[in-house]
Amino acid sequence: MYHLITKGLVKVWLRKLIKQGVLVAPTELAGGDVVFKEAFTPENVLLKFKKPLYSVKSYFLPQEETLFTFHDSSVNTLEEVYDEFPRIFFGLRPCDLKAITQADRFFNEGFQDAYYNHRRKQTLLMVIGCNNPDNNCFCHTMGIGPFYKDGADIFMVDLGHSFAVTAQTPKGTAAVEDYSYLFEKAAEEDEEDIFFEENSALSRLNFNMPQNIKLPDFTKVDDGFWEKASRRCFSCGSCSYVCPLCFCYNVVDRQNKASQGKRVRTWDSCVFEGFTRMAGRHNMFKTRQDRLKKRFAHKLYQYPETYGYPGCTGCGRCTVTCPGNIGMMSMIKQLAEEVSTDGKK
Amino acid sequence: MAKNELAPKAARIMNITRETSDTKTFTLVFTNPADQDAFNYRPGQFVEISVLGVGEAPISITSSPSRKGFLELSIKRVGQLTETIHALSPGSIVGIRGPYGNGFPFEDVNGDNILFVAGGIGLAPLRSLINYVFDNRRDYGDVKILYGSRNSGELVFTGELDRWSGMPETEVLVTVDRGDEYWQGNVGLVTTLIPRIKLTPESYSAFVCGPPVMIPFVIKDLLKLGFREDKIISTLENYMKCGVGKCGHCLLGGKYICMEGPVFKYSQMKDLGFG
Amino acid sequence: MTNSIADIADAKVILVIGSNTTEQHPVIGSKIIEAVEHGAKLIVIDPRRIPLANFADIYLQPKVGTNVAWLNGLAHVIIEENICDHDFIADRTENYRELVKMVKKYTPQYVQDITGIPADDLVRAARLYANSDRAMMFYCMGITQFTSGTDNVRTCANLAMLTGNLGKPGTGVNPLRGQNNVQGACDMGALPNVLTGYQRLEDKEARHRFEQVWQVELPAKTGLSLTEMISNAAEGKLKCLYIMGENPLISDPDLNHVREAFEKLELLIVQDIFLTETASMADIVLPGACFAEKDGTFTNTERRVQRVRQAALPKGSAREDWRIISALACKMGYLMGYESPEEIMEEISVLTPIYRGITYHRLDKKGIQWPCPHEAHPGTKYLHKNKFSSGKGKFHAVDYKKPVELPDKEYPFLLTTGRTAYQFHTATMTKRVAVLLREDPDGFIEINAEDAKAIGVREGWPVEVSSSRGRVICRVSITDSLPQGTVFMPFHFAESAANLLTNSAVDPVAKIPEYKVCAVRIRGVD
Repeated sequence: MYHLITKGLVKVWLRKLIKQGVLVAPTELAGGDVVFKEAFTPENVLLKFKKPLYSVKSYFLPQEETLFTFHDSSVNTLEEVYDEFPRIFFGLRPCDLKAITQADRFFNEGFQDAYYNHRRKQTLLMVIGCNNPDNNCFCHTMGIGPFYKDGADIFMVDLGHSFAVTAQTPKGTAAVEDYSYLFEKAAEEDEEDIFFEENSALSRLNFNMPQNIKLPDFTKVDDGFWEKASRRCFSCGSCSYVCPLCFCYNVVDRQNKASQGKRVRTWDSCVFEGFTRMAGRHNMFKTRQDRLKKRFAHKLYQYPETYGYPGCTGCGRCTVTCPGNIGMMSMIKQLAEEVSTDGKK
Repeated sequence: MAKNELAPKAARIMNITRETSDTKTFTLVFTNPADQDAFNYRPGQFVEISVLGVGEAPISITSSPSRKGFLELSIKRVGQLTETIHALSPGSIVGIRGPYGNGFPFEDVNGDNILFVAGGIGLAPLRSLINYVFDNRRDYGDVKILYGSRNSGELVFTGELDRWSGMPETEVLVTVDRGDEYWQGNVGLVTTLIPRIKLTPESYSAFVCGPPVMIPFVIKDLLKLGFREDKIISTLENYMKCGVGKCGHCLLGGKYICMEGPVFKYSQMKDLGFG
Repeated sequence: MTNSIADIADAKVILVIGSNTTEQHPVIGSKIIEAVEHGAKLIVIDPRRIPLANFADIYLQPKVGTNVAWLNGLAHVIIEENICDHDFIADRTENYRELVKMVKKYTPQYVQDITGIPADDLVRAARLYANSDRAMMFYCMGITQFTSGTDNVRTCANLAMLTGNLGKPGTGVNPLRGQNNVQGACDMGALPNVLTGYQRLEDKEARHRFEQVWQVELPAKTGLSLTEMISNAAEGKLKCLYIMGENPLISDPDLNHVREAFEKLELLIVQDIFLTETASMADIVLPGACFAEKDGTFTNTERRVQRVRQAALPKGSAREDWRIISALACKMGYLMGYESPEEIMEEISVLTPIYRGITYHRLDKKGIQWPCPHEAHPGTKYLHKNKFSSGKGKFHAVDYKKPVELPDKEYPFLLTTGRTAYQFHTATMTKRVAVLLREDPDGFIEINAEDAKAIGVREGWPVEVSSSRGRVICRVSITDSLPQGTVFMPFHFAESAANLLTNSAVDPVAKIPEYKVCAVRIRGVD
């Protein structure tokens, strides 16, 4: 069931919510880039915005995160460091949402990651359906779609004059009901508008890539395909850094002159040669070709086996960032083509 | 008191044995007796050893769980961290977390004859299982141990090799790649020992550990002899970091080797694109 | 760059010389690949078969140090086949006859004998470049770091002028700048012979303008270049050296000599963000602020002046460079009373014609490319539009000269030096980043497989590399990107510093050392 809040009142609502935690929302930087950023007042929060440059991954797995501190290298002085700030995420898109709910699984299935869970425990996820997917978006082929809302505390649809809002969790319900005076009930025609918006977004996405695109049997993809693709890989790692579903990390110890130390984990990337290099320089993924193949195999073939859906949200950020223009969408298209050309042979 | 598993626990170095010019075996006991009691492991599992401020590395456990109250790690000096550990003396404290990994499937080979093939420091994880087998001697059949290293100076656990060769229904053969004036024994790669043992492959399970270049050759020879693919058990040497299936360094064929490995049957290794 | 990065998309032919573009200028490398995918033709000329060569229509692999020979060879073919731009030559250039005379003997066969480039390939490259009206040329250290560096640059310019590929979009002679603000540093007169904006020191009027603003008398005499400072220090003629953000004890050629020279100094001051090898030797270390800790501008490779904004305050006793310099000037009795980088920028515009129209206000959203002569001027996308700044473009007739030191019996390999993708310069910053250090943890020497076999070493084995000036130990990396007889080392690593080996012989004009060629011996070690 949807409620309506006029756009003029959204910031009033956010001003109330901000008292419960740090607001993270799309904000425009001086140079015109849009990023998710802490907003200390709702003033600069964008209600209508293009896709933020980066996902909110860094709020869940920071680029650098201290695991614990110590001094004089002594295990007995070890103290764990947790980030327990409550955070309210406003303006997440369905692709961002899916990345978070997948992170929930990743960081809890098997080993439970206390650092992730401390951060995640105190979040409110406010997701806005994606009315205007851009040229690089293909979430619909990754099983998400522009109005995907599973796991959102609050899901919203931009109807121009106002947002249609639906709360899906107790936390979300509280955030709406506590300020119910800001909302009115949605009418039937509003529901129709929502339906219309979703469909026009979908047709936009279908223009980027057909929804039923078929991936080939990975083991049948010729090594030549990867060799050719890898020529354009600079091994810069930016695809992993911007990917909302890349969680690989490196662990390093740091110690200063005063013998105060910390163990940190930092983002890492499977496209780096050193990522799998062992002592004696033995490496199972020595060439760029090996690594690129592994990366795509993991996301497109092994991920579905483990989780039931690909390791990609279709956000298109890797397409934008890759200096060699190896985007996920074009790779999927090329891989699909591999099958059809093979079929012809 | 540590709350989460990524924070290592304190363990004291009780004893250090020099194996070769660059390998030492460290005997460790957790400083907190409760940690020691709670530390249960299987042969073939590994721990993450830390020197805070320098780093952390995965090292396979070389002691057998059948001998309780301590933990042994054989560590080869290959980088900054292992160099730092080598410089420590008895009484020093290191950080330990684990055990991690699946370990050897010793239950599955109950009643089998066992062939062990090890190269270099690869004897360390096998030693855990070998001693486990000897401590549960009635559960297993004949034992054959083939061990090779680059030269006589790089042989580890030489005293124990002698002891094992004196055990009932046990045969131990040792070789070095390059002989020298001090070496009276076999010369040649460890694979040259395989034709020299008499065995009926159907009744055997083989455990193979060693440098990445060695393993495929040994497996090939064993298959040729008629070993079943699911009776050849080896470890996949892959770079591991976190030990808990998260950091991604050891990911191979969609599997986190530190969780689902490092021990695999050859039949599984093939699926992961090995050999 | 005479032209702009955005021009790459307009170019029909792209010629890349002595630049490992995808690794050292990845953004530009990325644009080049994109252009090739949209139909542009690519010519790559480099002694190492660099990754970009995979995208090239024509790849030429000359012997190291033979640039003038094959550049003259290209000019020879272009003139011989009459595919030059006669209008451009007649209207815009001078000294054409001299060039024709000079390149006469550089027939493709003659060039092949010197450079190893097959004659046919040279002809194909010449035709492809000359027949395009939008051919863009890029070069980097593979042109400049030679005793013939100036000649190399001049012959590059010859080629562009011969074919009229200059002064319009999608063309130009485009040196790639290696650091974020090396262009800006040169623009600001961090050279021994010019004031800001390349106003010549001997120009009395220019000097006078500065004297008026600064209220001091300026020396008219050209100062010393970096390499001259080292030799003067070695001779005891230079007594004090104040170094900012530079680590010559790793980056200068013939390091043993540099160290000796520094030991003779009476006072060595180093201003840097980390305690570099050079700073460790200093009498006084002044801790500087890093890029994120200061306000100001950087000028990039396409002459674009861009704002950098302070994101964090300098840590500890570190200060922004302008504050340190001002404070030092005050101590020395000159009241340098700037209040902000913006005030300094205002002075720059007043005193520098090419920066005159550039103000902080205008730079707020987007950078401006100089020359920008007044506040209403939009900046300059490409230089030399209708005329050269110096009037006519002069053809330089230069003859091929061999590098100073070539392999011989004792030192049979030609060593060329360069960089890797993950380390930056002397690794002062990048070796402090765990993941970057992991990618390129130590020094290595790239050797052709045949050479490695002859030396008796394999991948990863340690070798001793020595020249007549020094020796280092590093790891072997077997490569198929180099021909037999040529080896390559990155210079980033202090523990196996390639510059212990390199030759300090310099180009007579630009005084740049011959980092790209010296002779070495290699032997396996345990």
